[in-house]
Amino acid sequence: MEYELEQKTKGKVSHHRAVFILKKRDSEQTKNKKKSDDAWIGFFNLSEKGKEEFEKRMDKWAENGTIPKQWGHSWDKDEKKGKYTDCFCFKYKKGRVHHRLYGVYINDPGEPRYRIVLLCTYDKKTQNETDFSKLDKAHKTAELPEVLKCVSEFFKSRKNKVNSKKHQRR
Amino acid sequence: MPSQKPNPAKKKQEELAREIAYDFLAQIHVQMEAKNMKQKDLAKALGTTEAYVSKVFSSARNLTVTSMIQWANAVELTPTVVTYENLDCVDEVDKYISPHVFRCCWEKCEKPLSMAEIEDTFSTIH
Repeated sequence: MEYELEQKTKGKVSHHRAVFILKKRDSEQTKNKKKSDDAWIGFFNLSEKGKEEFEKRMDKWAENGTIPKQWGHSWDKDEKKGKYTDCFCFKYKKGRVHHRLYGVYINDPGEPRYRIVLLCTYDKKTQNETDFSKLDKAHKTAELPEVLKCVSEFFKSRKNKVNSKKHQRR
Repeated sequence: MPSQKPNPAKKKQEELAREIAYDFLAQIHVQMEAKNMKQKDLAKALGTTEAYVSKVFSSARNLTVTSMIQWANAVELTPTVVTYENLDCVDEVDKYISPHVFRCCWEKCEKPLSMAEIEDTFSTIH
């Protein structure tokens, strides 16, 4: 399976943080699937309003590095024996329906100050409690060799862009 | 019955209102973290319930100028209003400048309290 990264935060928000949704190359063919826990498909099937709300919350996280718990959160090391400290969840509630996008933090090995959240799974529910199987799946997905390769290529291309910008300034 | 035509200007104004509300609440949250304040502490300072505070954060709307002043004051911040000329030379998404930009510039200028202080700073530079 081939993957690509779709940036959800505005490029100009921050040089330190960004949010991406993992997209399978065949997601365009399956995008109308209503019952999917795939983050890209889940996001695609949200209303325009829902998409905008999520994107604003992502932008604020990228800008500030922290957001109110109603917009999203990570997990402490004292929760679930610290298994999910590298996970992040963006939240949006419409009426009684809770929408969740789950992902993992990934730091650029070449520039540790640059961190992304890679969103992998989606959940739609009427309870506030986290279904940790969605986080487990996000973990597993982010560790797939094809995904690691895709992320690594993104970091490399980003580094080249940053270097060429520095070069232009000189 | 006449059909309602979409009003692009109104839509843009609504989007801007949302952006401002999000930025305002994000600043409140950052200050709360800095002061180690929980939402229940904010509710207490505002004389309201934690459920109301949670609802405002969750919906990011229904903020009047007066309530913004109350919320900012409750976390020991002072709000202000900055306007700038429309930026016609950039993409639509880049037209909105975050309050962080203005705040960073103010801090870089050593937090002047008045135009007189700015004039003093710049007269020593030149």
